[in-house]
Amino acid sequence: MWREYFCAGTSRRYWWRMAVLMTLYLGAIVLAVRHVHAVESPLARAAVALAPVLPVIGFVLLEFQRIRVTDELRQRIELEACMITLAVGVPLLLAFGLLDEAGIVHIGLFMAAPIVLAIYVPAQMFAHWRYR
Amino acid sequence: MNNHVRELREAKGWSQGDLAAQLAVSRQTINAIETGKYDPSLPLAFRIAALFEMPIEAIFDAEG
Repeated sequence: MWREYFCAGTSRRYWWRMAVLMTLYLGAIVLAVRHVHAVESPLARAAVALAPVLPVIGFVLLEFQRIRVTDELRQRIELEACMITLAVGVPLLLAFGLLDEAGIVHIGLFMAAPIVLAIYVPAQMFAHWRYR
Repeated sequence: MNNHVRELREAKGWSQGDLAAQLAVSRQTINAIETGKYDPSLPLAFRIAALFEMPIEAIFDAEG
C-alpha cells in the first residue's frame, strides 16, 4: 500500500532525475559546507553557499511534475498535506521566530526548510491514511 | 454522496484494480469512492457512468 502511494506518478525517468538531483545536492552541500569560507570574493562565496538551492528547486519541479500526472485523489491528498503543513508550519515558525527575537531559543533560519519537510511528510501520510 | 459503484463492479466480476485500470485511476481512488470517503470529480463520474453504460444519476445518489 505504501509502495503504491510513494511510487504514484513515478517512472524510470523520474527516478533517474531524482538520482541526478540527489547527487548534485550532496555535492553542493559538501562544497558549501567545506569550502565556503575559503572563497574570498563575496559574490563567489554567495554562489558557493547557495549552490544547494539549485538542486532543491529541481526537486520541487520534479515533484510538481509527478503530482500533475497522478490521479485526482492523489492530488487531493497532496493538497490536504500542503494545507496541514501550512496550518502547522506557519504558527510554529512564527513561534520560533518570536522566541528567537526574545532571546529564549536560537534556531537558525536554515532550519526552516527541514522543519517544513518534517511536517510535510507526516502530513502526507496522515492525508493518505484518511482515504484508505 | 452514496453510490452503487461497488455493486456494479462486483456484478461485472471486476476487482478494484481492474476498475481502476479501466478508469486510469489508482486502486485507492476506487476504494475511497466505494467507501464514500471520496466523491469523484464530474469528469471521473462521467467516465464511470460511460463504463457501466448507465446514467450518472443511476450510479450516484446526491441525497446520500
